[in-house]
Amino acid sequence: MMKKSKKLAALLMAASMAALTACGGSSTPETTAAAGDAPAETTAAVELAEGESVSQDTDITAAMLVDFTTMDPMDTSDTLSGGIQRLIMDGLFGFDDDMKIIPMLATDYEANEDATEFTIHLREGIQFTDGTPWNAEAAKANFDRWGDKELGLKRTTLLCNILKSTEIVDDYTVKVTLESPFGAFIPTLAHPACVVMSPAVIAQGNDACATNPVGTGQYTFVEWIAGEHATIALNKDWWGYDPEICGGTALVDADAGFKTITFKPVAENATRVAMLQSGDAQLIWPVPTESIESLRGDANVSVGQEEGIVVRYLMMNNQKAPFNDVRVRQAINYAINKEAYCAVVKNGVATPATSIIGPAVQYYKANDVYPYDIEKAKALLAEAGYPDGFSTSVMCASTTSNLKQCEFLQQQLAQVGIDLQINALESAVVNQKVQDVDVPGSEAEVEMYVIGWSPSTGDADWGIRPLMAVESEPPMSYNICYYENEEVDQLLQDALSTADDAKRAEAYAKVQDIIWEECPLISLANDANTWATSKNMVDVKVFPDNCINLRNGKMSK
Amino acid sequence: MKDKINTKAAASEKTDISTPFSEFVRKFKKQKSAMVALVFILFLVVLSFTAKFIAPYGINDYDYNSIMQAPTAAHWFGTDEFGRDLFSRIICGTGISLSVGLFSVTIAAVVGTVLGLLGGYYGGIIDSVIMRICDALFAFPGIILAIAIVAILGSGMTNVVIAVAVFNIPKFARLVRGNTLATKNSVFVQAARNIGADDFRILFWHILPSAIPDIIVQYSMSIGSSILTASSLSFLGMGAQPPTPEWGLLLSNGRTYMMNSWHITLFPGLAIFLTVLSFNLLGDGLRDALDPKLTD
Amino acid sequence: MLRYIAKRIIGVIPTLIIVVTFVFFFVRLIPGDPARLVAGPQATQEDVQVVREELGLDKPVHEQYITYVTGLLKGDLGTSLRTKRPVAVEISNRYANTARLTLLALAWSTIVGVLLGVWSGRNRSKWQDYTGMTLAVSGISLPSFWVGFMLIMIFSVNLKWFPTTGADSLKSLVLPSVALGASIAAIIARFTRSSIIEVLKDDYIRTARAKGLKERIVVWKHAFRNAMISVVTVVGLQFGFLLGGSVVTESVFAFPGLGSLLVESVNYRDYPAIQSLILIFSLHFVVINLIVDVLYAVLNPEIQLS
Repeated sequence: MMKKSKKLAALLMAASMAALTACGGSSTPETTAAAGDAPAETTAAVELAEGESVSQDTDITAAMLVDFTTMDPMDTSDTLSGGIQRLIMDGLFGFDDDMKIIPMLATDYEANEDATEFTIHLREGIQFTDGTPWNAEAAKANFDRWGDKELGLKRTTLLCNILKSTEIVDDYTVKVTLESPFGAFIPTLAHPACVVMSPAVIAQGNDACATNPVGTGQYTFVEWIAGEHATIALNKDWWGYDPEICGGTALVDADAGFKTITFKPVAENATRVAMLQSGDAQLIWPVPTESIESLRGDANVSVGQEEGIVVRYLMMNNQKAPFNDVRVRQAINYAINKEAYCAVVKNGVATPATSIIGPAVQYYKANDVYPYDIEKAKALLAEAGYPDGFSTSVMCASTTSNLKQCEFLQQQLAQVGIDLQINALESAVVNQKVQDVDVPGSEAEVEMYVIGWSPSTGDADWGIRPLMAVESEPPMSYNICYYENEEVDQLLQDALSTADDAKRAEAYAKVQDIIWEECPLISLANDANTWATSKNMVDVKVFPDNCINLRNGKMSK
Repeated sequence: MKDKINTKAAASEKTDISTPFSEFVRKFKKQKSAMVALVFILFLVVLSFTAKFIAPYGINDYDYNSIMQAPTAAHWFGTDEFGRDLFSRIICGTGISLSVGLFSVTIAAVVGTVLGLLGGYYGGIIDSVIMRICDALFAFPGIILAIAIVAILGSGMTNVVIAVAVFNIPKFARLVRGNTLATKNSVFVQAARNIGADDFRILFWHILPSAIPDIIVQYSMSIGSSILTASSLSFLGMGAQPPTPEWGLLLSNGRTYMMNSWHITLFPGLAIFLTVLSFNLLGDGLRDALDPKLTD
Repeated sequence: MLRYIAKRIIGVIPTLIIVVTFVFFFVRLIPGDPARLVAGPQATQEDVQVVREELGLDKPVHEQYITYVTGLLKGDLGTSLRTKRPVAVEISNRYANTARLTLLALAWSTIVGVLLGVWSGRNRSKWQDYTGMTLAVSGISLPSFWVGFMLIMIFSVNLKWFPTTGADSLKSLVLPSVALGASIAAIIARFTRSSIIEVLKDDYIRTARAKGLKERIVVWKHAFRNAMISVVTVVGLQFGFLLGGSVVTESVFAFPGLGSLLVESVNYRDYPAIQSLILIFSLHFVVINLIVDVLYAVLNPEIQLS
């Protein structure tokens, strides 16, 4: 039985979220080379010999773009808060550096044939930092919270309609019964929202969860003063340091981790960079692309770069003239010089996109970048009835990087006679005008829109469906192109309802080809992920979805 | 505004009669820094009309092969992040930054003056209402009021002008009201009333002129601070929209490049600094020349 | 005198009522739905509606207004939509920071401004005057965010004398308070200068001089005291400016104060927080002006108390 269920488990993994496994793709030689002129080795400039790290006696400060929103994982929808929560609390399953799924507080599991019952075995010998033991009872308390419809938190919908009941089999085994078959159950448990909290905190209610999280993690929560800082301190008794509990090899090196980490919200890009240069911060996230050059030249700073899975798009409202004509959309694609985009707008920290999803995403299929060809663009526009171009507008949230993008697009499109007005709005207003709209595409205000998207599951489905399926039109999701193609919708559905890897790959390949040909949106570039730390810090990086990864961080003197 | 002062000044010199105005001109000419400032402002005014023709490059002439270049013979102020000529962009932005200052303060001066006159002259409930609203406006820190207005109206130059105007209104209203209170019972106003002048005539012919010197000084000073406020709004992402070469926007866009390319922020910064400085110096000179108490 | 003070205090009430009402309706005019922001980007419209009801934002505006004002009268500032904690708690966290920053900025700028002003004023039309006033005019002619970044570049990145950000030590307050106070110092200097010049021409100063008193004593003992009466007014007025100026300075220095909280709250359409912050700004401004007016009346008995 065990053997069989293991096999099924493997299959399920492959079927629903094998994507995550494939994220390791970013380490294949080709893709790394494609990441730009600065290879990932930059960070490895300092190699630390075993036991040389002084990081466990060092307090560090990390300057972050935004403040945390909450400490309750179930109420978190931003990458940053998820990042700090992952350090305090572990999930049953988690990710390794390449976003492959690894067991954390669970050791393994079995599932029945139709994926409605999951028996999960828990890791033994672990305690929450408040002393509560980690066992089946604690697991049940967490499952029960995740399944509580009344919770009313941002991530409640992740599991509340799926979980039916949780049974304690023995001290270290729970059996979870689902409402209906759900092949993606295990990867969902690896979602950052499903990290495990001490039952004692859960018992105190939502407010305690939001302000005073207690988990089994590498760090313990010290304090969070909104707008000022959040501090976590190293938990030297973390099970991840213990090879025995980890089943042979410890999760991280014995000398990894920092005495305390203080996260400060610093919205101003220039200030964040200055903090790193002046030594007031040892780590900044994200690194403004404009500053990468000068940071590389700074002897006290180490800059790392790796291919990520974020793709930048120029969206067009396909239901509105003139974008309802495929020739116009293609013309725009020909009129934009993607190489120049990467060099000028992204300061070289990106590569031209070759599909709607990034190369590291599962089922990615490359296509040829539309060449920069103004004559062809003009000819297509003339053919479509716009020989002299037209006027249109692009809406975006008013951030420096968005404005730079739009200004570039404006310059490019002006060459084929398209007069692009930039309509930069506050993000709250953009939300209202773009996202919170419940009208057909032809009546929506948006004409063009710039957006970046990364499937945090690493799967083609989450990379394409929210942007292209009819069901994803606002207000439901991000099909701001109002792209309506029955064939694409059907293929996306087919790919979801089969476990056959080859069939899924075929369907997604076809979808990517259609989208490439029809250009409902223009894939501009694949962003590279970057990070910058003080020179003496090593093994601090970001996950492919651009979430900071501090687990194995170390520091030399 | 400046031109007017100047032509009038020229006219009064010819007549050679010692009027209060020629007295003012005589004193103003002694303010050397103010004279220099006036010349510089006139230069800016001329520049804002001619920039288009003398700029060596267009404001949107990008060149992706020469991005962020330090000043050279071809690009006096260097190039920006799109390889555009910074010199051309800055001189073409003169008119924009000047008009933000001029328009917003003119609106504020007109509205504020009328409110101040009405409040000061009629007193009672009108005065209370006007002054309480002014107090409330005053109690809002200026930039916050501007942020709120731009948030409601949306960003863009016109809305920036409105926002900056609104927060300047109470300054003028208070100033003129104080002046009106002081002059409304003066002998010449009483005399005007006795010969049957109506309120309108008294307000605009007899009371307003006595407030003009103060208004002019306030006007000049406010232009400087308005240009600064507009640039702060650009910094907060609520001002001019690219590719408008408004100086505040140039300056705030350049802030991420401060470390590697000094020229990107230096030149727009200097442009703002010199312009605001000139209006302030002019205001100082005008005040010294207009204020009888400060004469030697 | 007491009657005058009482009258002034009562006079403040309508101003505050206007501010409270104005802000309440003003924030609701700003486009952007707080319920959507609270519910999160992937929430369905039903979810958003649920949140809207939870927050009481589905009720008619006048009802919300009454609820708000009733709460205010009881001393309740409401609950932050963003953090779901009482606004009073959120604000008190930041209040001390901004107060320290503002007072430090006000203190140094008053001292420097007054000294510079007196120095220029007593040496009118000499090189001291030109130097002092050039400095002062420069101080009010620079965009404050530029000054802030320059200070960071020079004193924290290059010289490493002061930290870039933070609010925990006096050292970390230095750069932001310099950036914040620069223009105030300039304004005070200019004002002091003209007051001194004016006062130095008065008859009693001539008398003092005629008596053969040393110039230093004439300036500091006689002229200075009288000039200060009007300088006090300016300092009071600048306090409001400081609170407002802190919005930009706090953004540059990532300073955890009321100004940055206001920007965050506006971005999040956190109505209760915006309302309370602006009320606090206004209240300070009004109270300080009240104090200044009273001081002015005390210092200068000639003023008509009507």
